[in-house]
Amino acid sequence: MSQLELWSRRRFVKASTLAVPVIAGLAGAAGFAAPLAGSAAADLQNRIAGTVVVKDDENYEVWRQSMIWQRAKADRRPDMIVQAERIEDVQEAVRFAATAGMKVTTRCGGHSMAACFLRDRGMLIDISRLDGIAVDKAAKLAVVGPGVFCRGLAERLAQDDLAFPGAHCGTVPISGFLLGGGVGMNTNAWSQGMSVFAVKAVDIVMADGRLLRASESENADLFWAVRGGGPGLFGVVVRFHLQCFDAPKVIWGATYTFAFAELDAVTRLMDKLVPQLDKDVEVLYSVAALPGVAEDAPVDQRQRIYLDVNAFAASEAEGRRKLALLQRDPLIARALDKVEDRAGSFDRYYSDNEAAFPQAYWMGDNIWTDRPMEAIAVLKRHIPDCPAPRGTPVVLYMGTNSMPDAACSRIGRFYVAYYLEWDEPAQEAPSRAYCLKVFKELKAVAKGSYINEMDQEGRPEDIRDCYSPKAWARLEQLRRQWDPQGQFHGFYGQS
Amino acid sequence: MKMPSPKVGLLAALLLFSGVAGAKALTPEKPADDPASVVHQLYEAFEHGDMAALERLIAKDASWTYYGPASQLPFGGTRHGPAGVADFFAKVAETLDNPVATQLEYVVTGDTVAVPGTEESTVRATGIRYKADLVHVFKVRNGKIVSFEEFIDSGKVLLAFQGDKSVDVSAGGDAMATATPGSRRLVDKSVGKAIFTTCAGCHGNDAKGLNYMYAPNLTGQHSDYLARQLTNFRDGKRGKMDDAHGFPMVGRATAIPGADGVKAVVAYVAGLPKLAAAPVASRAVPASIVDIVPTCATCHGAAGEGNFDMQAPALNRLDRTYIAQQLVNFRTGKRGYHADDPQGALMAASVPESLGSDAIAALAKHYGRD
Repeated sequence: MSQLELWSRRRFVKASTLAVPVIAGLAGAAGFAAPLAGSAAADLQNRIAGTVVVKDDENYEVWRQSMIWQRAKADRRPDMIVQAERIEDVQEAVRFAATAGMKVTTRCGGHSMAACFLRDRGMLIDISRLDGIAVDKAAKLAVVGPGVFCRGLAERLAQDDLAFPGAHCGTVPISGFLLGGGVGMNTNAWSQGMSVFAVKAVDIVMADGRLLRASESENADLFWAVRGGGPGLFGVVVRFHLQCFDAPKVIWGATYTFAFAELDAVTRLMDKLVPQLDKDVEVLYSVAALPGVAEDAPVDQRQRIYLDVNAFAASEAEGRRKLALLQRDPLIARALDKVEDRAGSFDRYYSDNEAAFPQAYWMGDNIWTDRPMEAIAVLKRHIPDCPAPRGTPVVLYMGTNSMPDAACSRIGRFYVAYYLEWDEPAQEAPSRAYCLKVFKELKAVAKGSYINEMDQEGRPEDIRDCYSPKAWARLEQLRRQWDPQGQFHGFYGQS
Repeated sequence: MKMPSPKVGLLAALLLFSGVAGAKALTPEKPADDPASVVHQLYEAFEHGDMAALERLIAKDASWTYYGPASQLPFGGTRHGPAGVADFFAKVAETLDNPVATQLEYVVTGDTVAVPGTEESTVRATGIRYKADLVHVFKVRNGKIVSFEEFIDSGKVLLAFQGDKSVDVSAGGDAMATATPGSRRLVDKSVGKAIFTTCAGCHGNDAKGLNYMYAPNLTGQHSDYLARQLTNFRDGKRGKMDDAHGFPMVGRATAIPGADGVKAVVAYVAGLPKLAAAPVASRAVPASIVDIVPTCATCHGAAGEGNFDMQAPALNRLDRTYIAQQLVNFRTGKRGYHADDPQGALMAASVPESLGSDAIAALAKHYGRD
């Protein structure tokens, strides 16, 4: 038995010792009930440790809404929700769905802004309670349950001086994030542009309920699909085997605030200078409204540009050196405000970033592009008309990596995303219409989109642009091969 | 890489009897010598591996009986006194792996306390995992346990020792399995459990906290306290942006559907097995905080057990890192800052600016869980 297995076993023994269901004594409490005898729910419920909820259940609507992390709740209703407690539950649920003629989708953190996992028919399997982290420090490997949050993974790995390119939002579980490719931290240096290329293997429940290992050496074609197939994947990944990296000693950073009028200049800096920096310097900027300024104030008064630079460095001195080239640029001297010499950590990064990912009413969309100046020209024309109280474009330099052959097949030098957040129900429809209009226009300068943050509800016809034509065709072919009965829902809008 | 210590087996055996009390379990405010409290203390001592407490709680001439054939079940038969009890657990540790136990309620009649529950363990020799119903019956006199009887479905246990797979509940024995399905069981489909879906990622599936998410244990806290804190996060009374690990709760709490949702999720947490309290009463107060502890005890109780009337939370259910962080937050205006949070304001006023990091660390160590 390897040390990893021993460690893993120890961890999960502990977990199982603590996870003791208390059943009797609560029988009279509201919400406790045996599924109707002879019903489909009872049939499955009797076989699993998790929870089966069907449309007839009194609390179905709360369960349905609880599957979506954000506050805007897509109005789609699966026939059955299965909250799994263990891997066998997932296997049983998939087998049951096959027998009952239900198509399956999966959710974990429910962060998909499009709630693409929520369909009007079939079964939704919630795998958020499949957690656990086992680390083999010497091999720099971690075996991680899909429900583990990126922040938790970072903190746990830090205990062993390791790191992984997790999501920028700490409350995103690793699962959907990685399966869609993963625009993660320091991917330019660590994982060839996208986080999923640091996945060494997965354990995946297939359409027939089998649990398979997929890696470059086992079921390699399945592994090809796992690395980027995202919500179109025909299986449920229940464990990730991750390649980890030496943890940076410091995330040495700076943030500069610019006037909206500097948008072209900041974008030009991203386009020309940032690519000259070391690969482990991550640079992005966002355009956001100043708090307290009236929504109808002129855009120059209301909007500011926040340029954020972070070097994943081995020392403070190295961090300073890595940022020096950018800091010598004349534009930096024109910053209205600045924070420099920031000795950051993953903990600090995730805390600082929390406000950027509100658990509110929101949506978003994105493109990959090699032409940031043209993309920003489109955005600049539209930003003053944004109907959402808060609209935040983000531009992130991705590097120029050559990605391995995988379903994750689209990337650009730049990731351009736009997040819209609203407060009142009446603001939702105009926000969605505005976003759709902007991104239809941005298609002219795009190299496709990142599936995880794409407006799948607004432009489902463009989902295929998240993949190269060749990858899209192969994904379809592999789906027919691995899921001939169409047990799993395909991409949103397609099944 | 840390490897399991030799003590792990014994601790696991003690966990078999640990205080995983159900909804009707008693949670005494302070150590008492009534029968239910004594039994409760015993379960807590088991969970901590607190051998000193075992010595204190078990009478020297106590009898300890596990009904089953001693010739085939090493821990079967009757033993006497604390040494006999220690031998019982040694035998359990030698032969069983991964024990999981539940205590569902305490039924008290005079000096007798009956505790129905279940036990689930894997027999090391055969690899078979059994799950058996049981009742523990204690007799308590003068604050000590004079008799313990375990009425368990020992036929099932015996079959597991004999390698009979008909009693195996392991379903393949996957290392990531965390629970075992049961037929005809009642299933929690409550509103509270649904809402807790979002909470679990930080606080853990069992609400016992995840240190790597900076999220505290929620079990064992009074429901009113939990509801008040959730409401404070929702209403801007807690979780300022510079409260690094508190601010994320603002979004989470605000997303809970209304006041009824808050009540529901708190009720769900209240029904979960409780993480045992830190053994504060048995800890010596360090000299550096000997003048401060009485102030804390005024509201939080002598053992940090919390005081409902004072609206003070249980400190002995929280981990040390969290306690230390909250003391810093109160001291620096990141908590207890809102005029409409009188309990928080009282606490903030009680933490002097002069309270240094050494004292904070000592207080956290004194009251908190390891």
